Amino acid sequence: MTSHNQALQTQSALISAIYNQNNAHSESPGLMAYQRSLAANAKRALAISYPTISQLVGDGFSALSHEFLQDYPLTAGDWGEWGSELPLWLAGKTALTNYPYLSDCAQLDWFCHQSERAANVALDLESLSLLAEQDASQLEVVLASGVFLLASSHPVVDIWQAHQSSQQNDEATPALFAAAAQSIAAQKSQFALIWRPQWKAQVRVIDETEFLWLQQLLAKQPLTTALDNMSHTNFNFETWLPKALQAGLFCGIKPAN
Amino acid sequence: MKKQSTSSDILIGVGLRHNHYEDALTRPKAIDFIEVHAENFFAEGGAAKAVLDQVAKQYAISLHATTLGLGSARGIPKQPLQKLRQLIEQSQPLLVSDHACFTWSSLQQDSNNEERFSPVHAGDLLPIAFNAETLDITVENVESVQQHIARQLLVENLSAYITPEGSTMSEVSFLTELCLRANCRLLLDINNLVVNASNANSADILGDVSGYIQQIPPQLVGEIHLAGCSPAQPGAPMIDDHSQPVPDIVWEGYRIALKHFGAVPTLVEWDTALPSWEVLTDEAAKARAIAEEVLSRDVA
Amino acid sequence: MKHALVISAALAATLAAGTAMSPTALAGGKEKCYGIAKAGQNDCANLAGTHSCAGQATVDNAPDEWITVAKGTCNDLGGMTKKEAKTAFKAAQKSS
Repeated sequence: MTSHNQALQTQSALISAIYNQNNAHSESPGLMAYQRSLAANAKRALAISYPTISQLVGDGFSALSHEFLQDYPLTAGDWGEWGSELPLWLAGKTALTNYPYLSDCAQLDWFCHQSERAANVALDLESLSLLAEQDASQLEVVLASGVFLLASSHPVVDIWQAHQSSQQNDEATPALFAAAAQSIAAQKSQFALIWRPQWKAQVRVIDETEFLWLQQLLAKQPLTTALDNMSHTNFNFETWLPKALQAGLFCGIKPAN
Repeated sequence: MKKQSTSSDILIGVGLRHNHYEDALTRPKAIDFIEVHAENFFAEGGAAKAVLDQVAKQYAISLHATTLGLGSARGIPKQPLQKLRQLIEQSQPLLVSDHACFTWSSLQQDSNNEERFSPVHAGDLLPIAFNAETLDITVENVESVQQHIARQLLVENLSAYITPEGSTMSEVSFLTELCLRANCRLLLDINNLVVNASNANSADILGDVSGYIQQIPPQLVGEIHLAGCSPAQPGAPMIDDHSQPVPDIVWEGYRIALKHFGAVPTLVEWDTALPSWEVLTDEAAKARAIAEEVLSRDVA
Repeated sequence: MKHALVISAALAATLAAGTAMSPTALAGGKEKCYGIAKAGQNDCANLAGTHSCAGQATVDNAPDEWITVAKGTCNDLGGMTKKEAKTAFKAAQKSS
């Protein structure tokens, strides 16, 4: 619609004034209403996608979301899709060196948000029979909805759990915060697994062996290749598989592509 | 000639927001349809979608989109249209609507031309000027959306807090022309008429609302929205925040609309400072009582 | 077949685990979707400028000032005190 020059210009001028990117418009009460609305929508949406960061930053979160919006304007209409760049954006903040865990905490929040929006995967127990019937080099493990892995040099899972507990007003919260503070002081690193057995994303610490194994599965390696790649570790498929079923992490077996 | 209606014809609905998900599913009320903001269900899976699936088993659904920006001069990207189409296929809605506004544009940059054309979304409903150019744009967009979703669209009038330059026609003429040319219908928000008249310092708000309604050919209106909002703060426009019960002036406007349009599906919207599910559904019951009263008198 | 033994052992253990699980657990537990669904992130779109929607954002902060005004749980986790943060912020400003 390149012929609609007048409307293109008028609309671009208004949206730019609202995003506060040009000063051609004088500040009218109406314009300010739109500017406030944009800032409020951005803050609300970002706090829903990043609940841990919202609590970690507290009163500073309005200013954070406003500043982030300047660098990353909304490009999809759905506010639920906005904000994937926040972890990287936080990592680039030199003033944040004393809170070095913020970026990874943001990454964990985003993975949980993505996990809870991911396509549903139904458990298919009958597909287990493929393991007996077909060559395992032609088979793949099907994981639950929204599986993500995060290797962090910070105790991200401890921090996340303390904040989850706090959101639910759980009485374990002070103890969990104390534990998280201790982990930070000890410079603990953690491998995190995010998965969604049903509706709520779950997060837990895994060891490096399970991390490597799940990486194979996320890369959709055929089962035999995945097992080959684990041969240098103490990984035990026989104990992992039933546990993964019970945890709602394993959903079935399918022919490899 | 007025549309002949019987009282049982009218469909009354409420907007469903997060706070009422559980109540809507576990304490069903006598409401004919539930309206949701389409984009809240654009994710591929997850709990919100499951809520909508369950709600759709109990009530007819109206999908109210808020992001298409039907008056956007740069056009509407395909991705949200595909998501809307999928959602329509899944929820089989009674009605599908969005607004006569723009949302897609680009930010003005000093030098970088490439940047200038990358699309940016307003995250809000921004007003458009009403003229031949914007009418062409909106007709083109509405036609393209209707083609994409294989459905007729309802287009809602806006509460606007600034007046874009370049209007050569009234909003009501613009919307009427739009419906006739694009073969869409109007979603008439009566509170938005009140808000705009009030922000224009009208001396006779109800008279303005009535005059607006009388100019619309009755068959063009496919849905009516009712809502209430907070009073204007000093030095600021009245904002349509959907935070209050429907005020008397909007009920008066609704009576006028019913007389003119007949039994049009009617929705009570409440978005902020949400009341209990009972208070919300009582507002819907009030709308139904008024509609039945006005329409039965109309038929007699 | 490669890994045949370990795979058949895993299959047997998993079938046993599956049999032992309750039908609810197998169906993914008993979470109610409405108890888990997050608030709609697009519900404020037509509520320009309302104070009730999400509170007013501070729009005139200096860049990165949110870091020093942060009063959230960062402080409880032993990151640093507000004074330390200000010092760090100033140092970073100078170096950048």
